[in-house]
Amino acid sequence: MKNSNKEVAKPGIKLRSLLNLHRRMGIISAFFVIVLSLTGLILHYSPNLNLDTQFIRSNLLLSWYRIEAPSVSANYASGNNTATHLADAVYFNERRIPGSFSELNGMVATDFGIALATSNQVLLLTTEGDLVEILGGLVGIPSGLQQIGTDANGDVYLQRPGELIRIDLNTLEIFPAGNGITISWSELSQLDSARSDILQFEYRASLVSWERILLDIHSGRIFGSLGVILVDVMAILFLLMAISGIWIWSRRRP
Amino acid sequence: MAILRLSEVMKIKIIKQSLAVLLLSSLPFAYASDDHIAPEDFLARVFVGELPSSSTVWLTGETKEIAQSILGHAPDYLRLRYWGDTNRSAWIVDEIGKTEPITIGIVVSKNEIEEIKVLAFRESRGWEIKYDSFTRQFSGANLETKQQLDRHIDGISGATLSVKAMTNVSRLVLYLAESVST
Repeated sequence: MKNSNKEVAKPGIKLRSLLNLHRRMGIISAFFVIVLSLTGLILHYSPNLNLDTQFIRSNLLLSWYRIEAPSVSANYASGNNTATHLADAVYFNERRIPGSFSELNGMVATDFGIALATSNQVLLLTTEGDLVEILGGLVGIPSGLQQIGTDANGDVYLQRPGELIRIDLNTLEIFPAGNGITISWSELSQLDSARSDILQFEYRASLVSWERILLDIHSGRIFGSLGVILVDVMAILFLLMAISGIWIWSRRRP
Repeated sequence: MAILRLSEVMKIKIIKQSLAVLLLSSLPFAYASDDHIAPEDFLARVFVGELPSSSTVWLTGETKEIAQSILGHAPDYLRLRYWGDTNRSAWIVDEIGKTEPITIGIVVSKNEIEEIKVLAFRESRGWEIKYDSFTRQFSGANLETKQQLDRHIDGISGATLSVKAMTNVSRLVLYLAESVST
């Protein structure tokens, strides 16, 4: 028994150098083990913590991700209200309308509330900006809409190539418009720079979720391809540690 | 020699058959992400002949509160459209799975789900909810108390949020169909 204990107390040169190597690998990888374990644990509960629906608003992080502010592609004004299109988003004043929109072709105030036109949809909003309904082809809204406007009676008109139509927003009936009607078309207007900055920031701040950040830390992608390589190296280090650990354990067994 | 040749032929045959099975089994995955069904086509299939007129239900007041409790968030819209009548109606609803909206078509007949179909799936994961083997579970489902389905819907590993979105939309539509029929 005593002899075997002595053997354990005095490991051979190979075992000693392996022990040293194992220790060093442990120290180097400790930080990564902590980071990977923590991010992994949090990611497991990401939906419960709503991390997928909470977005980064830090300018520093957004700049790190090189997320640039898209320019305002269209803005329409009606009274004190504005409807603005940038990238794939439409904002009513500073409120984003749910959905993805490739363009915006006008806004009019109606008895019903607010009506916005895209190329193939009419978006109905309350005056506070709540989305009532998106009207599309299913209810007879034609595609290729270019303009939206109203006449003196408040009736809503839509212009498409070679065709002028009137739409009753209550019954959703569509009529060909007669001749000689004076229509006030919604026209593009300039958005003031302060509002434009706010909307551009709001758009940027809707792109990167906390879950994305954690995933990128976990995979190393937050530091680009070098980060991924570093995490890969660490993964190999973990494997080597597991193998060397088992080997040392098997050699030191009495 | 002849036996050896025969076994080689058998081997080649087995390899060929395995490759064919592998190829065929991968087909649903290959087509999984981009087989959208146009809402117009869905309605045309549900209502053979002339499309019935559409009606709307407002999600305001108590209805909005209940819709919010069903979906787990305030609905994005104040008005939802359906086609048909109180006996049989078709609804098309968008609901976010994880980050993108899933377009779901539901047919309700006498306050029971007749059919549920994913019309457009835009997420990168969870598309398995499109398969009939999953959607079949909803056939004949109706609402019990507290707007819960009368049955358990088996989940799909890796598609938890899509399954949740589809289940919630089915509960919402059943609730709204019931409310317009009373």
